[in-house]
Amino acid sequence: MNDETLCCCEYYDSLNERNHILACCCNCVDLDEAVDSLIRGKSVSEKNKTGFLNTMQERLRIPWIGGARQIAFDTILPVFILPIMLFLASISLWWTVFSFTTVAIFLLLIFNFFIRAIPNTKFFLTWTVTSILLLYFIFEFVVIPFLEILVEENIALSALIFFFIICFYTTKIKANELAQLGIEATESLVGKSINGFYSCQICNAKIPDKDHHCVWFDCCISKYNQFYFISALFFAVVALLYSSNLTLTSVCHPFRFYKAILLPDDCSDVYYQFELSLSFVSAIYSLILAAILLMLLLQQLMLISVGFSLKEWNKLTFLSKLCLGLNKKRPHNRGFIKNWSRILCLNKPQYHPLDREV
Amino acid sequence: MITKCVQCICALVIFIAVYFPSRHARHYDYIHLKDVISELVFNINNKFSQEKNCEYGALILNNTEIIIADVTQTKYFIPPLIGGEFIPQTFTVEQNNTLPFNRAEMMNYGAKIAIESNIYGCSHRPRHMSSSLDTFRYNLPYLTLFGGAISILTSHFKKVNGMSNLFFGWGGEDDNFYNRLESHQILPYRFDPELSRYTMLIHKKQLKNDKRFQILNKPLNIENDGLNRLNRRYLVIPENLFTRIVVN
Repeated sequence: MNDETLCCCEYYDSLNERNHILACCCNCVDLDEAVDSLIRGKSVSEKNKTGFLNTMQERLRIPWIGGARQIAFDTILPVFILPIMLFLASISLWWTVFSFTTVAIFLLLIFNFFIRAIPNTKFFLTWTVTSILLLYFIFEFVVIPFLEILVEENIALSALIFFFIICFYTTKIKANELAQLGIEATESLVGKSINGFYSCQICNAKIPDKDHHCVWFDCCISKYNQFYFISALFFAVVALLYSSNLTLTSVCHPFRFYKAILLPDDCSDVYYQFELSLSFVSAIYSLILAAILLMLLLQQLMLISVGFSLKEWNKLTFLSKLCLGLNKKRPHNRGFIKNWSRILCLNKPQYHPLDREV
Repeated sequence: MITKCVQCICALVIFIAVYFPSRHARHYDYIHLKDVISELVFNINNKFSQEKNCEYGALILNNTEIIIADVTQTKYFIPPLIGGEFIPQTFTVEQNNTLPFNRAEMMNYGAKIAIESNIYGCSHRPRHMSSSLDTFRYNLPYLTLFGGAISILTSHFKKVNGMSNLFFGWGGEDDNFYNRLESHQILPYRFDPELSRYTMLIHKKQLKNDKRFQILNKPLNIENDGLNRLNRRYLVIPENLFTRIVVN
């Protein structure tokens, strides 16, 4: 191994040899042997099959500063699923219905599988990031060139997306800090039970005052980053609704609602042109996302008001959910105002490892 | 340091490229509502001249909008000017009180309402009328757009030798016409967006003309292409309310 720094497309493979990602299709011994035996009419040996899969996994890399990084197959999956879904959906109305329902069913099926089989999968995070990038690029490079959206409308939307990204990033940073704190706490209090810390199997950390683990953000949400989480949800909902409104009024026939707001009323001929249908389909996807996120946002607001964590809420029976859980014991409830002030004002957990004796 | 500078410059370039004004719909200068009257061309001569498109009766705003002031006892009625190409838009103003009939005030009311709706008349400069089209989200796609509904004085139309005959299929002819007007320093303008609202009827779209940019990029050939280069293979059929022209 030499000590030269790698360029962004290079990496050291399993034999510690320097390799380039552009050579990913060259020099695979197992593939050569497999093809060789196929041509000779022999069956492919098991060793060659696993060797080939390992080589493929090994060479599946993305360029990165300081050498190409290896990526897991499940991480890269949404990068293919989402564009294919939108592309197929733009063919016709029936394709839209078909591809959206297929993806929804696929997600429902794979959700529990991933949580159980690969708990720390980055699949959902990649899904979120790919959705944001895809929707933004479709808006900037397909919808804007229709020349129907004003500069200030574009800037307003970008500002909303910017605020969302800031909140999203802060949520993750804070979650990392909390996990770090959890490690410190366990180290300083070996063998003792720690009050207020909840272990998370997915991120393999102890989080103070944990609310739930959000797979789409790939981090834990606790009382200390819940404000940023809720802000992120809020900006995401507003940005998605605004962008879908701008897109739909551009590609469909709009009408004036109360003289000020433009709303779409006739989208019957969007499927005649690919750009129109792609924009339309991305707007529909945004609307679906906005509806789901809005429900999550309202649930979060309600749970904070009544003083439940999402984990406790999910354990409730249907009947007590109907009563908003008011008939059950709420160990973390401090009253409406205190619940909210805790969310809004708390930045760092009030925890000093040395002071506490349990 | 250098990498930081390069990153900053890249970010700036992307920012400008993304928010470049010409990638968006445009705000535009327009004649405000109160100045619209002074921009209209009133042709008081009521003779059936060749410039029929801008004739006005003494009390008629223009030949498509006719104001009728009317009161239950004293009816004031201006006979509609039939013979124009359009079905006239008629406004009746009723004085609904016990005071004596005030013809001038009723006229003013009628004129106010008639002006606030779209004006199908001529103005001193060519006018782009459909600058607030519903399918464009009531925005203007680009500043030199001169398509859709336009109005122009006959003298101006003759001066630029009409429009080009070379554009087959959708697109290009309006931009060419704008270039013609621009080359003669007759720059079009627009009225207040409130006077320029249009609804696009659902229609089957024409095939786009792929050669339109090719023709547009050629130097203008005003003398040999336009009004003076029409052949005689056309028929004029008078109908009840309009004139049909069939071109072979």
